[in-house]
Amino acid sequence: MQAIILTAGEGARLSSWTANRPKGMVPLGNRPILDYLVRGAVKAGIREINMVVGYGKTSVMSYFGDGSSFGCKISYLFQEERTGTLDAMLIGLEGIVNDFVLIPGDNYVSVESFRNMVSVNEPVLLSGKGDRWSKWGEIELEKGIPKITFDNPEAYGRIHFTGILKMNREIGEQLFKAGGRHIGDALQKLVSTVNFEVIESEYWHNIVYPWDLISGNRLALRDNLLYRHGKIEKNVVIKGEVSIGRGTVIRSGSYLSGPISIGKSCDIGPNTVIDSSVSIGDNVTIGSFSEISDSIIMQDCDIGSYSSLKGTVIGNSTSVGSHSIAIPITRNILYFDKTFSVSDRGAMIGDNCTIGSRAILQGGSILLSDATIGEGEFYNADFQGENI
Amino acid sequence: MCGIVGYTGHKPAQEIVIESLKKLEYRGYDSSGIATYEDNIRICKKEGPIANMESVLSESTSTTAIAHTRWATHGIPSDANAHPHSDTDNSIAVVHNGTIDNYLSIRESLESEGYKFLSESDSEVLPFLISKYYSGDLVEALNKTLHEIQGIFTIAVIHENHPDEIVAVRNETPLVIGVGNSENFVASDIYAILKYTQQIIYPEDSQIVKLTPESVELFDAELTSIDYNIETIEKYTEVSEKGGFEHFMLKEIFEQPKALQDSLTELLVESPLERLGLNWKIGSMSIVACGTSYHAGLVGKYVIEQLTAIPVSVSYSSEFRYAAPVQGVGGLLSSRPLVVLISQSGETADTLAAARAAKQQGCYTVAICNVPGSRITREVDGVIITKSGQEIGVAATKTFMTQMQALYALATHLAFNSGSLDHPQYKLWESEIRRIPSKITQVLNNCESIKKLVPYFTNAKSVFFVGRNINYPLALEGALKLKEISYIHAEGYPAGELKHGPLALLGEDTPVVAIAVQDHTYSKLMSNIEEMSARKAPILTVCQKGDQQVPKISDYHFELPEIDPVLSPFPVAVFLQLLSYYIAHDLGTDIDKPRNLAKSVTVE
Repeated sequence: MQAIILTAGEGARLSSWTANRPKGMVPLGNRPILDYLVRGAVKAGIREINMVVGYGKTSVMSYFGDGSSFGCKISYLFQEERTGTLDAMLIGLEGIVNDFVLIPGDNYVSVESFRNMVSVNEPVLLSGKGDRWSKWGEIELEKGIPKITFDNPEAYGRIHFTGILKMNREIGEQLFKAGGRHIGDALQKLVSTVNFEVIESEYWHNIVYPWDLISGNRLALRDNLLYRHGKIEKNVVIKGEVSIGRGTVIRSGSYLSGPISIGKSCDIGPNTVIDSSVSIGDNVTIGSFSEISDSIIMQDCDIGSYSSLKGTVIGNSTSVGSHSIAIPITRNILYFDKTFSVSDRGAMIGDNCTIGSRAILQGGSILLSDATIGEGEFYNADFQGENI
Repeated sequence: MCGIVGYTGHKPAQEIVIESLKKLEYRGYDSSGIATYEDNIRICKKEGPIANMESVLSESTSTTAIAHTRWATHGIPSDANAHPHSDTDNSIAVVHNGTIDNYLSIRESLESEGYKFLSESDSEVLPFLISKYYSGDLVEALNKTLHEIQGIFTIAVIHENHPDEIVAVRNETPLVIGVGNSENFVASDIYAILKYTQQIIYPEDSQIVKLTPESVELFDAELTSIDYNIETIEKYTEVSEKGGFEHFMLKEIFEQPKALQDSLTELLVESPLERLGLNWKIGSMSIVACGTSYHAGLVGKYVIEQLTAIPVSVSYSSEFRYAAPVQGVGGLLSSRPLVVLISQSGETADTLAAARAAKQQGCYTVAICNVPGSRITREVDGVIITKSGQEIGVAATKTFMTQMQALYALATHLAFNSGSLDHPQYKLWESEIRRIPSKITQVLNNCESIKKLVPYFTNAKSVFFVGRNINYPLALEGALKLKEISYIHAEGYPAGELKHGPLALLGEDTPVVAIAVQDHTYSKLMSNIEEMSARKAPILTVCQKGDQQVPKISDYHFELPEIDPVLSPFPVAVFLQLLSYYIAHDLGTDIDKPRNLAKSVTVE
């Protein structure tokens, strides 16, 4: 069994964090989304993976190398022009002998799902329950035969196609010949002739919008790789699953309640509270008396003292001054000409931003990379981008 | 230079030693060879890279083998000069790394005794001497040979009468022993054998090693058996594939943020700087290194002098070791001089010799090294280990970066210790050093725009790199990178020095790469650029973000991420590495293995 992972696309809707990497390299639970897919495939017994890369390819190649540290062999295939997932799959078919799993690189899926797929002999479509429309389509079963539809864009709580499927080379080629906008579209024409079995995924999250990162992070921390290095000073309370990387210092009086994943060389505290579902990348400093919960802090960030961040995403190399606040609210967000209702999300801040001291970031506000918020400013914008 | 590997055990030896040998190709790739035992000694050797030799290799059933990859010192690269060498009746095979200084006189006396030499290599005296002294015991024969030869060497020998035995010895060049399960290894470095075992013995100079599948014995000069320590090396995932990158060099350039991050973590976890115990008032300091490491040392000089006001001299190892012993002058313990030696491999012959010279003069020696357990780390007083991981491309990239990082950390440490940095300033520096990986990531992300510079260089007769102050060493490093991988002649100069000579060479076919950061030399550099531009040389400038002046006076400019000028060498280095890489790539040179070079220079 082999696998093809598609990660050549740009991920424009996550552009605050994808200036130089594909969507699959954005971290959830302190690891790139692709990391979960590769490890999941390896745990299911897949040893050879073709990675189709393009946009931001060096970030992928530097992270995974030849795959040996992940227990598999990764070959890289290049899709230089962004001509869609069907083309990407065709490029990825190089060296595929027979059975393979096709995995678009913007899904979070738990390991068990891969195992279940591989254990079935027939071709498999992986389905997932989602509270939002999936671009790959919805799966309806009619007398046991799956049907892919795109009829119901408000498909809350229905069964969706995750874009992940197991097939053989022959079906792959048929899929390409069927043509269409993407894999879901092509599959729509093929499901009546190929006998696909539908397997439901255990946990699945399609990562498309900034606010998906927070919910994706909550899920991903279920797969928290447990490690505990670093230096933990006296009077630190640690509860639940908390991973702490090498060279990190947790200073006295801090309170950590897992699941939490903290990277290498961080400096946290004293007297800092980190509540559940928080991922903190390498090389992050968090000042004293700050409180962080349900958030992603990517690597190389500085969070000043007395900050309060909830439901918040902070991109790479961003600094947040002291006394800054990002508190969730429920609101509608206008994003890429569409309105979304979002709750329990704080601010979603891009890479390389500078947030001045005493800044207030309104819940649901989104900030692109390289932006600056001045001292004491109040920021509340749905989206600062080309469309506005 | 040259790489050596040997195996004795129960598995097919040929495959194992060839695979291990490939990991030593960085030590030289002029020719290679292997000796196995197939009822008698069989030697196969070939000029060119290991693949050439592999293509003429026949099946082997041997469970003992020694192999060699060569970097020519005595005699041109050819089949005859390749190792292993043998004696007249082909009873023995010898591989040798190093040089035999008195080989001419030995050769003359052996020839007068009737021995016929087949090659120009100095190494060929070894099989003749060993077989001359052989009377049933290979260890004894090698020991007698050691009395006759002078020079630096690692030698490994197999003999037809002892089909599962390897005998080896070292003198000033590297040799490690790997201990496995009913199999044992010798090699020039640990990376060659780590795939098979993590149990390593580091023999001392002139201890003779005897390996069989079941045993490892070490002997001293009197041939009495001596005790040894087995060290366990950290589990290590090997780097053998380029993981999608076209060259190892490019891969390693992109690995630099990780290398810096890992080295930073090492600095935080292991606190090597505190362990150095530099608690006396240091009156003067020397940094000693070769090649790219020397340039890292020069950058270190600027930052250490700026932060600590301790005068720093930087020397090439090959010069330092033969210089007048002025370092230790004064010799008072209160002002004991500090000598920092930088060697990626920890095996660089000249830097090792410099370390010994410095120690002899009573200096406190500190090594900055990328290979834990390497030779230099065993000889100096204190060690700072960088965590770049293995570097395969011959042109140094990520190790340069982590060496600079180590020197910046050392500078701030010394400055804090001596009181020239107060606590808040020290904290600020600490966080600046933390920021470096993310700054250089921004340059890496901008690599496409560096490609646009390539056309300026394709017809260049010569290229000048200029900079001032802390970026003057970067000009040197930029020139070194370009010449070693693209073979275009290049020179690095302090920008103010061009008018004292080199300006005579400037013209339309000599592009100038200028490094212009906004420190106190900025305005002077601007007028230097004007001078060069007036001579019609294309000016390509790397400047800080938002620079207004540079775009007006340059043919092309590249903007660095926002950074303090003192820290600019890090992103500038990445820019220069990528520039050289893309130029060389355009010219189609062998980027990972430039002609005539080898990765670690273990000869003088």
